[in-house]
Amino acid sequence: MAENITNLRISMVTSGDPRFPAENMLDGTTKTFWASTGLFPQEFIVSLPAYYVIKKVSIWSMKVAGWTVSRSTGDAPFDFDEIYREDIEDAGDQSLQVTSFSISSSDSKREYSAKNVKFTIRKGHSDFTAVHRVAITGEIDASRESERKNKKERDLAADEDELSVGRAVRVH
Amino acid sequence: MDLRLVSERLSQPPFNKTLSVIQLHDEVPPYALAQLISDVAAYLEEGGPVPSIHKVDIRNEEPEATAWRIGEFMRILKFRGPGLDINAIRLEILNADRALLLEILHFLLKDVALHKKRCYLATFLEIVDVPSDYMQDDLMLELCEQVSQLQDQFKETHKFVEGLRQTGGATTSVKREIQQMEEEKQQVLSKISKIRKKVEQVPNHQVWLEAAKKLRIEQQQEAALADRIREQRNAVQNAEKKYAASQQQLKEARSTLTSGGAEGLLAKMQEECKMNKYLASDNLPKSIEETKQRIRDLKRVISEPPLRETDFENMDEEIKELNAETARLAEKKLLKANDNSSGDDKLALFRQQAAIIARKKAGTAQRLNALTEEVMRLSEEVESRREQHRGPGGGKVLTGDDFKKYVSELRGKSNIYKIKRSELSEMQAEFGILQRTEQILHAREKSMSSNLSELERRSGIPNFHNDRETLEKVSERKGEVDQAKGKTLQEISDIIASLVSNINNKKSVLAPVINELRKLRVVASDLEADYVERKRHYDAMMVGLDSEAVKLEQEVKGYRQDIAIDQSRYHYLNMAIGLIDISQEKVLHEMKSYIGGDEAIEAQQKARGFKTYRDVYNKRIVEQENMGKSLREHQKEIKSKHEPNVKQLAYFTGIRKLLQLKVAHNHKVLSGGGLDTTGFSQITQDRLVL
Repeated sequence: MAENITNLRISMVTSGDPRFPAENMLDGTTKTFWASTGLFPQEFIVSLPAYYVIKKVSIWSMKVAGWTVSRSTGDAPFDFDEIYREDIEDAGDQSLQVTSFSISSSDSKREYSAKNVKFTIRKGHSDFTAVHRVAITGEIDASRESERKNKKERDLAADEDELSVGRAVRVH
Repeated sequence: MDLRLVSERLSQPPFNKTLSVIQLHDEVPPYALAQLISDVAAYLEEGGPVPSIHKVDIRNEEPEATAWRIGEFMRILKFRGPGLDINAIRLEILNADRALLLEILHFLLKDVALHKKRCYLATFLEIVDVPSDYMQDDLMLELCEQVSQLQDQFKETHKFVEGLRQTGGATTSVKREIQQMEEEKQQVLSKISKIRKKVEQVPNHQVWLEAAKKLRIEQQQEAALADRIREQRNAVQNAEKKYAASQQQLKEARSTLTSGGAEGLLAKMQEECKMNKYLASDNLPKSIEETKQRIRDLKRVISEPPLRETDFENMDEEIKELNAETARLAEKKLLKANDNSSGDDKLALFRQQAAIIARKKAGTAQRLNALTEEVMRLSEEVESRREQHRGPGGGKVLTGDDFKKYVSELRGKSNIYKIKRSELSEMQAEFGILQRTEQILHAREKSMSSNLSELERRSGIPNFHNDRETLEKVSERKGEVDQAKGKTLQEISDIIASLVSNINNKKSVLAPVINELRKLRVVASDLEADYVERKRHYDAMMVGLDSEAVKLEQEVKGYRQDIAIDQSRYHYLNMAIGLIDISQEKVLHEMKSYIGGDEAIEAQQKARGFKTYRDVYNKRIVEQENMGKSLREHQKEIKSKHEPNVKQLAYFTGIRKLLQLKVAHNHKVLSGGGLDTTGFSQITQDRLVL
C-alpha cells in the first residue's frame, strides 16, 4: 500500500534565494524550483507527517553532480544514516536530471521507518544548482504511529495533572 | 594720324627702320619721308610682273619726277587726301609738305595687303589714256579693243585664281588625307585577309558569315528605326504644339464672337482705325514738326559762333523793342476793333460767320454722336426683343393648330376679362352711391343733433342726449366686462377641479407605498444601530490584527535572519571541517611516515623532497637555534667593544677638526699676509704640531 506521501515539509535548507524558496520543491510540478547558492555541500531536510517506510524516492534537479540521501529513524532530525549515494555526469545541455531509487522490501539495512529524510548535494557542475521536485513514496508504519500517539496523550495528561496540582496548591 | 602705327609698321620687316613717333613728326626731313614712301611703294609693288619703278633713290631723282611718281601711285591706290585733288597733291609733295607726306605714309602702311593687291591689279587693269587724236587711227582702235578684251579676260581669270587660291590651301591637306586613307585602306585590307584566314578555319564559316551579315543589317535597320522613331516623336510634339496654338486661337475667336460678334469686332476695328488715323494725321506730324523746329533752333544756336556778353545785351534790347512793337500793334488793333466797327465790319462779319459755322458744326457732330448711340441702343433693344420673342413661342410664328388653340384661349380669357370688368364697374358705381348716402346721412345727423342740443338748451338740460348716450355705452361695456369675468371664473373653477382630482388620484396611488415606507424605515433604523456596533467591533479587531500582523512580520524577519545566519554558519563549519580533515590527514601521514612501510607515502615523500614534517621542523629548529646563538655572540662582542669604540670616535673627530684648521691656516698664509703669531701665543694647551 505504498502511496505518494503528501504533507511534506521542509525543515531545514542550507541556502535559499527568496525568489526560489525551498517550498517550490514540494509543490508537485517541475516548473518551479529551489536554487542553491554558492558553496557545496548543500543540504535540505524533508520531514514526513508520520513514520513512513520509504519505498521510493525521486528527485528532479539541474546541474547536480553528486547526491546523498539519508534518513533519521528518530523523531527529531538528528543522526542521519545514508541510504543512497549517486554521482551524475554533466549532460552539457540544459536538461532536467532525474534521480530516483527504490528500496526493496528485502533490503533490511534500509527498512526502518523514518520521519526525516536529508538530501545532500555533495558537489555541482556549476556554481548554482536547482532542485525542481522531490517525491517520496512509502508505507505508513502503523505501529510506531500508534505508539507515538499514545505517548503524546500520556504527555498531555501528565501536563494537565501538573497544572491541576499547581492550581490546587495555589488555592490553598 | 596715327604715327605710332607708322613707326610700328616701319620697325617690322620688311622695312626694319626704327623711327620713333617724335622723330617721324619733327626730325625726319621731308626728302627722307619721300624716300620712305618710295620704299614702301616698292615693297607694295613686289611680286608684280614688272619690277617696281619706285625702287629709286630720291636723291638721284628730280623732285618733280618724284612728285609725279608718288602722285600717280596715290591716284592708283585711290588715295583721298584732305579734300585735295591729284594735282594739288603733286604740288604739295613738291613743296615737301610734311603733314601730307606723313598722311601718305600712314595711308600706305595701314592696309598693306589691300594696297599690294591693288598695285598688282593696277598694272594690268590700268585704262590706257589715249588722246582722242590717236584714237582715230584704226590700229590704235584695234589695240585699244584688244587691251580692253584682255583686261576683261584677266579680270575673270584673276577672280578664278583668287577663288582657287583660297581653296588652294586645302589641297595639301587633301593630299595628306588621301595618303592617310591609302594607308588605312592597306591596313584594312591586311586585317581582312588575316580575319579571312582565321574565319576559314572555323567550321561552317559560311553560315557564321551569313548570320553576321544578317545581324549587321538588322542592327543598321534598328538604328534607322530609332532615328525614325525620334523624328516621329518630334513631329508629334510639333503637331501637338500647333494644335494647342490653334486651340488657343479658336478660344480667342470664340470669345470675340460672344462679345459682340463680327459686327462688333468690325465696329471696334473701325473705331481703332479712326483713332489711329487721327493720331497719324494730326497728332504725330504736329509733334514731329515741333521737335524738328526745336532741333533746327538748337542747330542754329550751336552753329552760330559763340556769343559774347554784348551780343546778349543787344539781343535783349532787340527782344524788348519787338515786344513793345507787338504791344503797340495789339493796342492799335484793339482800338481799331473798338472804334471802327464799320471798317472792319466785313472782317468781323466773316469772323462771326466762321464762329457760328464752327459752333454749328460742333453741335451737329454732337448730335450725330447722340443719334448713333441711340441707333445702337435701339438695335440692341430690337435684338433683345427678338430674342424674347424667339424664347417662349418656340418659333417665330405659331403654326396651324397651336395658333388656333392659342387664339381660342385668348378669346375665352378676353370674355372672362370683359365680364369681370363689367362687374367691377358696377361695384364701383354702388360704392359711389353708398358713399354719397353716407355723406347725406352724416349731414342730416349733424343737423339733427344741433336741433336736439338747441331743444335741450331751451328746456334746461344741456347735453342731455350726450349723457344718455354715454350712459348707454357705459352700461353696454359693463355688460361685456361682466360676461368676460364670468367666463374667466368658469375657467378657473374648471382648472381647480381638475387639479384636485389629479391630487386625489396620486394620493390614492401613493398610499400603500407610503405605508410600506414607514415599516421599512423602522427596520432601517434597527439595522443601522446594528451596523454601527458591528463596525466598531470590526475596527477594533482590525487594529488588533494589524498589530499582530506587524509583530508576526517582525518575527518572521527575525527568523529569516536567523536562517540566513545558520546557513552561513553551516557552510562555514563545513569548510572548517574540510580544513581540519586535511590537517588530520597530514597528521596521519606523519604518523604513518614515522611508522614507515607504506609505499604510497614514501612516493609522496620523495615527490615533496623530505620524509616527515617532524624532520623538517626539527631541522628548522636547529638552524634557528644556531642562528640565535651566533647572533647572541655577535651581540656580546659588539656590546663589549661599544664603549672604547665611542671614545675612539670622539678622538678621531677631534683630530679631523684640528687638521682642517691647520689646512685653512696654511691656505691663508700662502695666499696673503704674513704670519699672525699674536693669536697663537695666547693659547697654551698641548697641541700636536706637524
